[in-house]
Order: sequence, then C-alpha cells, then structure tokens
Amino acid sequence: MTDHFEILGIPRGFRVDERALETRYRELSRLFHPDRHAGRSAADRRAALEKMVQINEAYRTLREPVRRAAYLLSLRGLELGETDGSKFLPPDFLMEVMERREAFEEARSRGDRERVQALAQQARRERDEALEALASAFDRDDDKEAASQVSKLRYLDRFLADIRAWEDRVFEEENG
Amino acid sequence: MAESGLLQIRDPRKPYGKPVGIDLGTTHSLVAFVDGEGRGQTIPLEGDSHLMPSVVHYLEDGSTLVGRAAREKLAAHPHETIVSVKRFMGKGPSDPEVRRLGHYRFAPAQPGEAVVRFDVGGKWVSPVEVSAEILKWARRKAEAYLDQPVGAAVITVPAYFDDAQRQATKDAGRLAGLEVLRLLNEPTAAAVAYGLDRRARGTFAVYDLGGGTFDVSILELVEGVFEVRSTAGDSSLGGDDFDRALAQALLEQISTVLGRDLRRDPFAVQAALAGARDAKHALTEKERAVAVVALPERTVEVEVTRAQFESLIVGLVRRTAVACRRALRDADLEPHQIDGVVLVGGSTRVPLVRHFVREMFGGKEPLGDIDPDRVVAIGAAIQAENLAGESRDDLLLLDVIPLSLGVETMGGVVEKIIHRNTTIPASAAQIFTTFADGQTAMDIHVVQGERELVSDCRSLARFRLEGIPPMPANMGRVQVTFSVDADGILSVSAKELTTGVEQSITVKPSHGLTDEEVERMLLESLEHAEEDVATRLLIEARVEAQRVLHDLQKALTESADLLVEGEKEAIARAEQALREAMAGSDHHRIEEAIADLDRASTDFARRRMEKALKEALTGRSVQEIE
Ligand SMILES: Nc1ncnc2c1ncn2[C@@H]1O[C@H](COP(=O)(O)OP(=O)(O)OP(=O)(O)O)[C@@H](O)[C@H]1O
Repeated sequence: MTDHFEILGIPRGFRVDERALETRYRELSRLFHPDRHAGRSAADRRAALEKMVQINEAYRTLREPVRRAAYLLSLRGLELGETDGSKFLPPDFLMEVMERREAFEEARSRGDRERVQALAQQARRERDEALEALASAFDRDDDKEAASQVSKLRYLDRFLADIRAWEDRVFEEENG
Repeated sequence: MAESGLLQIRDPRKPYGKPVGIDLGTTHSLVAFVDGEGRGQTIPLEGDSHLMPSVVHYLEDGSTLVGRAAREKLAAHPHETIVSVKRFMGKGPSDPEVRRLGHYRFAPAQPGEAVVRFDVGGKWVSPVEVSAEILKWARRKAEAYLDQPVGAAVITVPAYFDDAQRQATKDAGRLAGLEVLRLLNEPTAAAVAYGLDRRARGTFAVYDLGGGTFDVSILELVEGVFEVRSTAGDSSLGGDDFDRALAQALLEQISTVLGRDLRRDPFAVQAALAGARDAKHALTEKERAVAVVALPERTVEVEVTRAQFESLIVGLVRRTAVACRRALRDADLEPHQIDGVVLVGGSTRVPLVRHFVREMFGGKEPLGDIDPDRVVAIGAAIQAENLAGESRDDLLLLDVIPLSLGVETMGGVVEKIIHRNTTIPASAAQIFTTFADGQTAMDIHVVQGERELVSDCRSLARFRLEGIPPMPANMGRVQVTFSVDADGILSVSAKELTTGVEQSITVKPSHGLTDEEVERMLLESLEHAEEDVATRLLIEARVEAQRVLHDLQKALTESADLLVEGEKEAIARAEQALREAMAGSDHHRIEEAIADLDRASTDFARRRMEKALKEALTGRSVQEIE
C-alpha cells in the first residue's frame, strides 16, 4: 500500500507546504475524479474511482495538522489509536483538563456565555502553542514528544468541539 | 420520435442524445441544455414559461396530467392532485411530513411498508412514481423543443438531501427512462452557473431557499475547480412553510367568523394555501395585500400587512440562520471571510429573507442577478454537457456529503463512519467484534445524522451478516465498509475477517424501492409497453459493449507493457466471447460477456491508473488518462 504522502507526491514530514498540497490535490482531482471518466468502461471507471477515494482520504488526512501528525506517527510505528492517548500526557496536563472541564460545566450551568468564550479563547491559544511545539518536536525527531503534543491537541479539540456543540444548541434554541 | 430516441443511436460515446440538466423542484421544474456557443439555456416547458409546476393530476383512467393542466385540477380534485411531491421523497408512512397541513389523502400504512403512498382515487402511488411523471413530461417537452432525443440528464437535489431522498430521486429518473448521469447538489449547480460566468475566484456562500427545501453551501472556487467546503440546511423548510403559516392564520380567523372548523376540510385547506401564496407574493412588492380564500360556499377576503406576514414567518427564517452558522463553522470561516453570497430559489425574493441573509454574512449585498429560478437548471445543464457531451477541462466539482453516516452500536449509540462534509467519493471502514460466545450473525443498522443516539437519526437500512464461524466472544471481527459515490449515494458491505470468510452485502435504503420494483414499474408503465423493451435492452447492451471494446482497444495499444503473464490471453478470450455475444440478439448474454471482460481487465485498469498517478507526480504529466 502506498502511503498518503506518496499518493499526493509530497515529501513525508510534518511541515508541509499547504499551498502546494492544495494545488497538487486539485491537479490530481482533475485527472481522477469520476466526472473525468464518465463515458468509460466499468473497469476504468472503477479503477479511477478507487484512486479518487484514496486521493480524497490522503488529502483529508494531510491537510489537517493534528490528523497529519497522528498519521505520520503511525507510519513510524507509534499508534495513538483513535481516542485514547493519555499515556503520552504529563499528569499536570490531565489535571488542567479536569479543571477546565469543571469550569466549563459550571459556566454552562449558569449560562455564562462570556466565561465560556474566555475558556474557548484560552484553549485556542494553547492549541496554537501546542502546534508550534508539535512542529519542533518533529524537527527534532522526538516522536514521544510529538505524540504527547498530538494527544494534548486532541483533548483541546474535543474540548473546543464540546463548547461549540453547546453554543450551537443555545443558538438553535434561540432560533429554532 | 420521443420514445424512439434510443433506437437512433450512432455514436457509442453519446448514446443518449442531448444531455440536459433538470431542476426537479418542489414547486417548479425546469430543463436546461448547453447551446452551440457553450451557454446554458432553459427550455420553455409551458407555452412561453420555462417553469413547469411540479404538479401531477391522476385522471380516473389512471393516466396523468402534469404541470399547469394538473394545477388547474387542484381546487376541484385536491386528493387526486399531488403538489410538492418532493417533500415526500424517500419518506416513510410515519414521517412527520405526512402530518403537516395539507390536502393529501394517504394510503393506509401497511405493516412493514417502507414508502409513503398517496391515495389518488382507485390507485396508490409512491412519490417516486409521481416524480417520474414530472420527469417524463419534462423530457418529452425538451425533445420536442430541441428536436432531438433526450435520454440522459443531470438531476439536481437539495444538498441536504439524505441518502434515501437521493436514492428516490435517482429511481424516479430511471423510472422516467432517463440515464441519470449525476445527482448534483442545487447550491453547487447554482455556483457553477455563476462562477463560470464571471471566472470568479474566492470563497462563496450559496443560500438556496426554494419551495420546500433550504440549503446553504460554502464553496471555494479556484480556476474552475468548485470545492465545496461545507453544506448545511433543512430538507423540509421553504416557501411552502410560509404559505402554511399564513394559511393556518387565515383558517383560524375564518373558522372563528364562520363558526366551523375548516382546518380538516381539504377544499378549505387548499383554498387557504392558494390564497396565502398569492398574498405572500404580493407582499414581496407591497406593504399590504388581500388574501382571497375561495371556499366552496363563499369567497372570503382578509387583509394582511407585510409586518403581520413577517411576524408569522420570522421563526422559520431564523431557522435558516442555524444552518448558515453551522456551515460557516464547519468551513472554519468567519462571515467577513466570504467574498460573495449567491441567492437561489424563489423564496429569496421575500424582503425579510434578503434582509436576514445580508445580516448573516456581514452586511454584504447578496448577488442575485442571474434569475434565481433558472440558475440551478443552468448549472445542471453545464455539468450534463460536461459528463456526456463536450467535456470541459476547466470545470471540476468537488462536493461533500451533507450528513454523517454511521452504524448502531451497543446501547443505541451511533458510531460515525463517514463524517459530514467529507469530500466524495469517499470510503471508510470500521471493525466490530462479536460480543457473545458462538455468535454466528451480526445485525448491522445503518443510520444517517449528527445526533448521538440512533433514535434521533435517520434509519437507512438494516441487514444481517450471517455465516460468522462460532468463536469465543470478541474473537469474531467484522469489517464494515461504507462507500459513498459521486452522487452522494451510499453502499455498505460487511466482511468477516478472522477466518477470512468473506461476505459482502450491498444494501438499499429502507425507505426506497427495490431494484425489482423499479424494474417492474418500468415494464408496467404504459409508455414502455408500447415500445419493444427487449429491443431497447439489446441496443443498450450493444452500445455498452462497443464502449467497453473501444476503451480496451485503446488501453491495450497504449499500455501493453503493463499486462502481466497470461492476462493478455485472458482478456483476448473474454473479448472474443463478447464479440460473439454481440452478433447474437440475447441482451443477457451480452451483459454477461461484458461482466466477464470487465473482471478480466480490472487489474489491468488498476495498474493503468497507478501508472497515470506516478506519471502525474513525476511531472511527465498526462493531460488525460486513457
Ligand atoms: N415574488 C415572490 N415572493 C415571495 N415568494 C416567492 C416569489 N416568487 C416565488 N416565490 C416562492 O418561491 C418558492 C418556489 O421557489 P423555487 O421555484 O425556487 O423552488 P423549487 O425549486 O420549486 O423548490 P425546492 O428548491 O425547494 O425544491 C415558492 O414557495 C414560491 O411561493
């Protein structure tokens, strides 16, 4: 099996030229998308479809830094699994996570949107920092550290997603 | 000449005559084609009008009237006249849609019945059949206007249509005798019509509020590639609901005055809906209007101000904000990052809607200069021409699935397998383990939706994978693979991994018709009884055979080096068998021979794609892959 980097023809590594990635994706889509093979025999259509599915999956994985990092680690034999990466996390981060959750629960039950927004803001800031740290961990080939940052980012993303879900629900209740 | 179209084929590459785009709308349907200059044009379907009412009336002898003629029967025959059938596509008999204010009469739900049916007097018809009548009629009109056979079409669907609704639309196309080239999302079609026109570049939002559905899509446009970033919507929200809201208010008022509850009287409901719609249209231009409700016994007039109307619909309009916000967030964009907003659908003429859209997207004045009624059909025509006529290298549409797809797991919780806004075509697999000792079968329940619990999602299909060899719990591993094609339609297969016992099942949605049903209906429909079905199938099989042989010939000359030991001979044998079958007149035999050749050349085709990819990446780029 060719890996996602090979499929899109970009060098294997965490730092990718996002512009080049997009351009490459469009180029390949122009060649392999089912629309380009509409009038052909079933075997050809199927083969092109399979390729396009792979191209889409590769692009989906590589365009997003956290997914890209986890994928890269898995290529190096370090499987984070789908969800649980807590074994790579420092205990104090887990403490922080719990406190953050509590703060959110509390603000939510009070319907305190400003507080929730402040929490989201802070999580986003930490997310940016973690992304920096992730990139430099890969630069140093420090896979353990990279795994730790990926796990951290996943926590933060899940936290932000929960906030978003709550905000969406509030918005829906007000407008639905 | 209409039905003989398929008998006149010459060019195996274009076996279906002129490709057209069809906007199969809740209220109106349109057909468009690409003219000699490469411009999309809609076709007059009713006299001078390019909009044909999506209305079907069933006459006593079972034949139908479609369009304006059907709409004229509505007041006198509310049960036999089906309007807004699109709202029922892919719906089951217990869907909430069935209970809304309306003048339909439904067939009693049979136990286990998957599809809602209308009782049109002596006959029960499914929404697919009703839609097929509209499509047949549109096709006939197009053939007469173009003076050419029309056998293939791109049909548009709301982006937010789920799998069952898409499948139903495709079935309707097949039932109308059309080769459905592609189901195209309405906002994407609109973007194509707009974007190509002005060689636009940037990020656009398409806000499409029609008669029965609402969609919003965010697209990024770069050099002819339309990449949908996100889509959201509500497949039962539209101008019809504005009509209902106003009609409801009118009926309440009139019932009080007359001292009789009119809300269950189909004639009164129909009259109130008609009066409400006219008043709504008038209120787009004026501050006040008179709603005329022509009850059988007397005509009642009620004055309505724009402010009153707006207070009735503001809740509905606000609901669109929920979807807009979600689409923006899914695309990871702020409103000010949108370069332009395109308005599509008749209901975007309502001043309150325009006002709302402006606010939603950071005060930007929306674009609405291509006729919002026609823009979808035109985009569909451009794509139809691209797929089956003169293909254009500059155009490519990359669309997404609107709703996540998953399976039911323990405790009625959904495990998502493909997430919403994933670019299609897409495929993903998940592994499940057996939970009991000696378990030999696994039930797989396929659902669509965003909610966590199965009961809050749309149930698409259930099937059972059997033949798992008895093993201790957790040892049996079943891989479930979801594949979504470029039409946004799902197929699912399941495979037992541990022992290598393979079993793949492809499912049809629970609220759809089976292939056999469609086939039977096709054969039963009057139109096709008139022509010789066998001849038609034979010709189709031969055309397909020619196409396969043509492609294969080309591939063999260009990529002979990719053949492996023995493959060439196997392909040659299958090819020979196909040529022999073609000389005969048994279409089954030809189809089987095609399938055999297909199997013999599958790996060869794969290797060619692989090579094409390598070449593309090493710069020795090919313009096209042969
Ligand atoms: N001038 C107007 N003012 C207000 N509403 C209008 C006006 N013109 C059309 N409409 C409404 O627009 C709706 C029809 O829009 P359109 O023809 O775009 O929808 P459709 O394509 O049939 O439906 P859909 O896209 O939902 O399948 C109807 O509800 C109609 O009442």
